[in-house]
Amino acid sequence: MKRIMLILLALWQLPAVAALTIEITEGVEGALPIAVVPFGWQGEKGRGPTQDIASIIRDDLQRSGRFASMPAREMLARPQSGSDVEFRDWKVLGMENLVVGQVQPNGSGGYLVRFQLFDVFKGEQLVGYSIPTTERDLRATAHHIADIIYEKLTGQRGAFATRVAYVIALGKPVRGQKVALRVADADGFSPQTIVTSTDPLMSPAWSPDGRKLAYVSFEKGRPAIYVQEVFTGRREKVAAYKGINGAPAWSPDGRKLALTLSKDGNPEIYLLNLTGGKALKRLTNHYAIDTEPAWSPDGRSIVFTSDRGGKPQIYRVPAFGGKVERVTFEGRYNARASYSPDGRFLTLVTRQGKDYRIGLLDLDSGGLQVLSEGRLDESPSFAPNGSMIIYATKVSGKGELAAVSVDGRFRQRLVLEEGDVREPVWSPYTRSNRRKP
Amino acid sequence: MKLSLLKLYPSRIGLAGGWRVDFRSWQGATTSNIGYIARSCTAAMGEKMRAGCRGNLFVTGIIPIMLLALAIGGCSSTEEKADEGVGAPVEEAGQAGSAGDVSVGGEALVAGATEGGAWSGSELQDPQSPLYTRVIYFDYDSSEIRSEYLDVVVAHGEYLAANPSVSVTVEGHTDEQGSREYNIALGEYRANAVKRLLLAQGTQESQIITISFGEERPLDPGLDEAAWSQNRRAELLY
Repeated sequence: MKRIMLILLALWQLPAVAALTIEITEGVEGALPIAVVPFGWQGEKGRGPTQDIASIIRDDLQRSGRFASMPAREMLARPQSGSDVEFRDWKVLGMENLVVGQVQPNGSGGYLVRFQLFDVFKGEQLVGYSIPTTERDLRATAHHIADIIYEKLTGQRGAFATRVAYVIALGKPVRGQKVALRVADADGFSPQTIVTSTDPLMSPAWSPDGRKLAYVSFEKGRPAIYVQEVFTGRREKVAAYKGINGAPAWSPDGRKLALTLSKDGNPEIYLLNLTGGKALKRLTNHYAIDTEPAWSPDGRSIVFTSDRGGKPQIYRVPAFGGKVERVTFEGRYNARASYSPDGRFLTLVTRQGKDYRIGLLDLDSGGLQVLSEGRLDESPSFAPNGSMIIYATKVSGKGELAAVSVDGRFRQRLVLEEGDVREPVWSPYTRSNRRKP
Repeated sequence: MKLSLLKLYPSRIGLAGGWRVDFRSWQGATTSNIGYIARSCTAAMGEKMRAGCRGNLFVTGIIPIMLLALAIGGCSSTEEKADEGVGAPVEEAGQAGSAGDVSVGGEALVAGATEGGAWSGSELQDPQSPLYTRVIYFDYDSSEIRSEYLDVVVAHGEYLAANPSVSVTVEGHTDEQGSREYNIALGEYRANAVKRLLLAQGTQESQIITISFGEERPLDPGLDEAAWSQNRRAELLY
C-alpha cells in the first residue's frame, strides 16, 4: 500500500512562485560576445511555441560566465536563416558569434527547431542542426542547443541540459515547517517535488545515471536512507539501522552506496551493495567521527570527513579498504568534500576565521583556494562538466543557492521566491544528454 | 524548560516574519520569470504536465492525509526490503512510563503545571528538582557535558535507575555552523555523552533511546551566537 502512495508522491509541477531567479553578482572580463537572434515561427500565426527558445539559449550562455549575450532589443536586424545574415552589421556591433534559427510545425503538437551558429568574422557556419521536439520539451531542446553552442565555442562540454536537486523548507521556521526534496532544471525552471515531509529530509545524492536519488528521511522519527526513482517516484528503503543512517554517496558504477552508520557504536563509513543481498562492508574503524564519504571518479578512493585529529578534516581511504591518509592540513575545519569530474580537485566546506566558505583543493599541489564569500556556505557540488560549483548560502537569514566558476571569477545567486533552500546537488549527465557519436 | 521553550517561540516567529530577501536590483527579472512559469503552467504544457499543475491542490489537500496514513499505517510494514541490521524497534518512546505509579509524558507534564504547586505526580514536574531541567547546552564542536549540567544529568540517571519502567529519549542537536552530516554525527556524540552518564548512575541501556537531529531542528532559527548557543543541546524527552 505504501508503495502506491509513494508513486503518487512523484513529480508535480509546482506553482509559479517556486521559480529560481538568477542574478549574476560578479561578471568576467573578456566574456565572448554572442548574439542569439529571436527564432522565427514558420507556421500559422498565433499557434507558435510558447517558449522563447532564443531567450533560453541567451540566458544559459550568459549564466555560464563565458559569454556576454546581446539583449534582443539591441538587435538591429532579426535574420532567421543564414542567407538573411549581413555579417558586416554584426561585426560593427562587436559580435564575434551569431545564432539564428526558426521553428516549424512538425505533426500534431510537434515542432522542428533549426538553428545555425556563425563565426561573424569569417562569415562561416560553425554548426547547424534541425531538432524535432514537442511543446513539452521546448525548454530542454533550447538547453541542448545551448550545450552544442557552448561546446563548439569553448571546447568544453555544456551542462545546461542537466538538473539540480535541492531541499527546501517551507513555512515558519522551526515547528510547523514542511520540507521537500525537489528537482529542477539547471536554470531553476520546472521545479518538481519528489518527496515532502514534516520531518527532516537531508543529503540528496544522484545516481550516476541521473535517474535516482538517494536521500535521508526522518519520516518515521528516525533517520533512514531511501533510494527513489526520480521519474516514477518508486522508492526503496535501503538502510534503517540503529543510530545514524546518513550521507549516502553512489559509487561511479552505481552498484554501491557509501554511507555513514553508527550501528556499531559510533559513526563509521560503510559500503552497501545495492545489487543482490544488500551486503554491508565497514570501511573505517575509529572512535572519532567518520562521515560524509565521496567517491573518486575512478571509483578507487573515498574521501570523508573525520575529527580523528581533533578537528574535522578530510581523509582518504582506498574503496576496497586499507590505510587512511589525511588530505587537508590547512585550517581548523574542512568538511564535506567531493571530487571534481576529472578527479583533480576537491570542493569542500572550509572555515575561514569565523566563516564557513566553499573551498577548492588542488590534489596535486595541495593548494586550497577559497571560492565563496558568505558566512555559512555549505554543500558544494560540481557541475558535471566541472565548470561551476553550486552551493548553499545564507542571505539575510534565508537559505539560498549560489554558484561560482571554479576559477572563482564568476558568481551568481539563484533566488527562490519562497522557502529556505539548501543542499543543492547538480545532476550528472543523463542518457538524454549523453554525447553524440 | 518546556515552558521556556514555548515562550521562545512567538517572539522568534515575529522575527522570522520579517525576513525578506532584498529584491531591489532584480525585481524586473523576478517578475518576468513568474510570467514565464505561470504561462508554462497553463497553456504551454503537454496534457501530462498540465495535470501536474492542477495537482497543486492535490499537493496541499491530499498529501498530508497520505503522509498521515503513512505514519499510522506504515509503522509495522515489512514490504520494503528491510535489512537484517535494523535494530530493535525504537518507536515505542511515546508509551514509555505509562505503567506504574510514575506519571510521565507530555500530557502529564501540562496537567502538573496547571495544578499549581501540588506536585502530586512525579519529581519530573517539580520546578525545584534538577529533573525539571531537560535541556543541556554544549560548547562549539564539543560533546563534553559542561560541569554546570553534571548534577542535572546525574539526577536523571538516578531517577531512571530508581524507576526502571520509565524510559527516556535523548536527542542530540547542533548549531547551524558547518556541514550537515558532520553535525548529525556531532549531535549523536552529544546524545551519547548524556547516555553514558545516565548509564553510570545505574540506568539500564534498554531505558534510553538516542537520536541525533544535527542542525535540522534548531530551537532558535537566528544566525548568531546567541541563537547557536541555544541550539547546541541535548534534550531529555520522557
